[in-house]
Amino acid sequence: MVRIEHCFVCSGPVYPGHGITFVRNDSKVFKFCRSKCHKSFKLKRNPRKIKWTKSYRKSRGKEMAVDSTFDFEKRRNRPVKYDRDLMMQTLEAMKKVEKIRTAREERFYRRRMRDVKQLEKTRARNEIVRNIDLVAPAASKQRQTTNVVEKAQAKLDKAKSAAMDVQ
Amino acid sequence: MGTGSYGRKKRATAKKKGFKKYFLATKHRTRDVDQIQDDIAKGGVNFEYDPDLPGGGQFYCVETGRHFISADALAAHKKTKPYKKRLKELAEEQYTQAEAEAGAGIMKEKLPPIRRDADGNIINNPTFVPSAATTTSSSSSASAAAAPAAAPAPSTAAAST
Repeated sequence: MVRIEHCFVCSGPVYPGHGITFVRNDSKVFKFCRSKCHKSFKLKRNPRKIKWTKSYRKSRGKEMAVDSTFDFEKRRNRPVKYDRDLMMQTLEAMKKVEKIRTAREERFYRRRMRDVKQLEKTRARNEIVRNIDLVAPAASKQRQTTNVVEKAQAKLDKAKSAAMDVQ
Repeated sequence: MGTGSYGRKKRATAKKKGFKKYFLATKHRTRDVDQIQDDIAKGGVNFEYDPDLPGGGQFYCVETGRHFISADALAAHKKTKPYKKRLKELAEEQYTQAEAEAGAGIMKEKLPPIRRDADGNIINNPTFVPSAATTTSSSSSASAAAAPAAAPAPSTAAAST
């Protein structure tokens, strides 16, 4: 039966006449969309741990994984007789579902990226504070020396006041 | 790891031309992680004495799918890094085609259970859906297989026909 299969590694579509099918000696069938995916399989890599695969992105929460729009497309192992009305309805429904899914995926992405800008700013600021010597060596040196002077002065003042208290 | 240094340089084979090719060939395939997970779930593998295998096939490491010549060699192997690395891989959930398809947004169809009457005849065959023309011409959602949006729960619709 001709159907659009899905790659074992990257979950991409494998159209009839494309990709590679591997049948293991326990008669399990694996489909691969391109040699990159096939090679990853041969190297015994776990697709869940390869960063560019769909299963990685979904398992890490990078993409929307649970949603009701995923309930429509299914692997159905039963025949349906051709019906023109049904076909037209399905095509219309597919468009609608796709529209809703895209909107939800965009929303998911926005929500995921909401705090990123603030976080990056904080990280950058922290990095500058930590490596101030690299950015402005003279300034940092100056500040250090003033700090030392101020600290010494403070210490002296404290000692003086303590001595006064004793008297 | 407690095994000291290996007898060879690290990544010694990395630059050898054809080394990778040799191990990637189907001819030299070793057992996949999912096969080994199944083996362990079955409770291990037992080999009958076979003079062609190392150690007669009596010292087999299930986790890495390798034969050893003696019990000592097998014990030494179980202290190595590749073995321990494999243990970690095996502890993870099995990766299946179903997960790959879930990544593409495709779920598996769940059909209602087959019901039978007192004589054992099937009342509803969930895998068989009469064509839309024979059921109702007005709403073809009855054969929910290909009209997803029209029927939010295709399985229930299929059961009602």
